[in-house]
Amino acid sequence: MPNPFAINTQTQDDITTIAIEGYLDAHTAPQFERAIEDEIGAGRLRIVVDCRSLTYISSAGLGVFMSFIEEVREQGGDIKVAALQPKVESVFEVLGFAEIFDISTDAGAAVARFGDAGTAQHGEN
Amino acid sequence: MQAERERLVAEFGVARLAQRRMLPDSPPRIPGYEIAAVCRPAREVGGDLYDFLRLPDERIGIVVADVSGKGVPAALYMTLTKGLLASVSETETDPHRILAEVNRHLYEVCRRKVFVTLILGVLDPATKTLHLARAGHNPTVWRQARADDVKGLRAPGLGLGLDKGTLFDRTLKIETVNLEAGDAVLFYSDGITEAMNSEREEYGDERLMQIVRQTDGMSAAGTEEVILTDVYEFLGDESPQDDITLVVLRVA
Repeated sequence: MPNPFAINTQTQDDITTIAIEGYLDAHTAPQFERAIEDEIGAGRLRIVVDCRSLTYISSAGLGVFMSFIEEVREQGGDIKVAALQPKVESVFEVLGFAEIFDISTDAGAAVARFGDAGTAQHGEN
Repeated sequence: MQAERERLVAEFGVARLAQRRMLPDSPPRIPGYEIAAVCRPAREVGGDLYDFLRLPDERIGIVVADVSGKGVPAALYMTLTKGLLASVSETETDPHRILAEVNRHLYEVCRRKVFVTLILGVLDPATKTLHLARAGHNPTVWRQARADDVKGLRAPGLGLGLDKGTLFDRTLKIETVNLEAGDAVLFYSDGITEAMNSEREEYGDERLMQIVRQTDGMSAAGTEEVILTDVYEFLGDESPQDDITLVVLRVA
């Protein structure tokens, strides 16, 4: 019985928000992986992962976060994490992910932090 | 088809046995201390590990580790981790440096998608001190019998194989515990705290910290039995979904 999982990607200005919901485990991790690959492939390297509706994350899911962060940062971008539920947040913290990822309380705050970084190409339409 | 299936079943049997043999035959005997250890894989082979390291300065390293993922791939990385620990601890005595070295090697082969959480406790039997290095692993539970207190110890530290080295080294902080007579220390994997019953409720840290209060005065083996019984009673008809590993250190 597959656990529910959904993913929704939206790009505004030059920041992409990937909202993931439900169970991120070995079965659903490949979908999340593809979504990030698509963004990187298209040159969109400012990514916010909105975890507001993410109820469970397994090691396979955590692996996806890790597998892109270095590449994205090397190219001047970032993967920021937003709105972790307490259960998921404690998994992040025990593993030390809080030391690696820039984690915000909500997606809006995470988007704003790309501005704080003071990069030149701040998207203004 | 039938023959192929039988062959696979037989091969898994061999793998299971090989993995079981990788666990220490018995915990080390240390005057003034008792150690009990158990590892029960949820499948034929697992990604959990416990081990004891005799360091060059005669201190004892107690290790519990959990490789991300399950089944055969996790089992292979578990074997690698055990080998790395054995090799590094032949010459190195400092828990920080032991883990930094293991991390460096794991990072090179893990391709970032696989990682290992590990707790290393270095026990100095003479001074009754325990130095804990936590690489992203669950908190260590410390039962202080005389003070009637239970603590979950979680010094900062990243999982192994996630970072090349700089961040790992900077994050890892060693926590030192001064043990007293009657204390118990639990090293375990999340197969215990995340054991889930039919109501989808987890066993959790709180239950573990409560049950260990009831083990004062017991042997390490007795303590282990009380805890495992409590976990399996909690599971009821559900089978464990993850490997269950527990090492109990009891101060006489």
